[in-house]
Amino acid sequence: MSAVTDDQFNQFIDDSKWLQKNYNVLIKEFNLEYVAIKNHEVVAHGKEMNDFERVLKQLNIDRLDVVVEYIRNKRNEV
Amino acid sequence: MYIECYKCFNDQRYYVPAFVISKQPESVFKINFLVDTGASSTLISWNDVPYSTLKTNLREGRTFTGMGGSVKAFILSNCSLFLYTDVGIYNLPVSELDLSNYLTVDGRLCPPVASVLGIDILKNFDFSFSDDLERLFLTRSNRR
Repeated sequence: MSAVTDDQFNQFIDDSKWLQKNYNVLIKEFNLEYVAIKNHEVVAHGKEMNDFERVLKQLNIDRLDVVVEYIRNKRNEV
Repeated sequence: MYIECYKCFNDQRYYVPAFVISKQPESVFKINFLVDTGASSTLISWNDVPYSTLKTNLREGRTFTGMGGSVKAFILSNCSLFLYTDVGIYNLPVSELDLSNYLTVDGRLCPPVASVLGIDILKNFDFSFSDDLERLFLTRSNRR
């Protein structure tokens, strides 16, 4: 199995930081949906896990190429 | 050596991006872990690694209990956590990691919660914050 590269990690961190900063904006459009983010863009989304996995497959998107997040209001989570 | 964790603007909690490599099953996952000193153990959420994508049967492990109920976990063996530090990629070998089931033990759907980096791993690090509190730094501790 290949090791993780600096480029993969930098992309992951960059998109993760973007996700955390823009979370409240994403809630407005994608609340209670799974989203896949790449290069600061939502490239796929779906309401149920199975639907979302199907969309990723249809679009030929590998989970390792995107940051996946289930968008919800997390303020009341402990 | 330190690892940067980022604050989410929604819940004000800190998350750390990590790659998880498991040898059994042979898989790579990309997860934003919630930094959670209140969690006794690191736990990967079904939400981040859907069981159906693993295409294999996993050994059942412990049962974890939280506010949402109790959930059985599956075991990922011979894992490595890859974390990004100021001096490059840091490989932290972990013999086993737990992956939560999507159903609670009484058959209800488990809420989609974050994977947590628990005290079993966090105890190896010291904590500090950036002046603006936007970032949390985990510094590898020299404690034995």
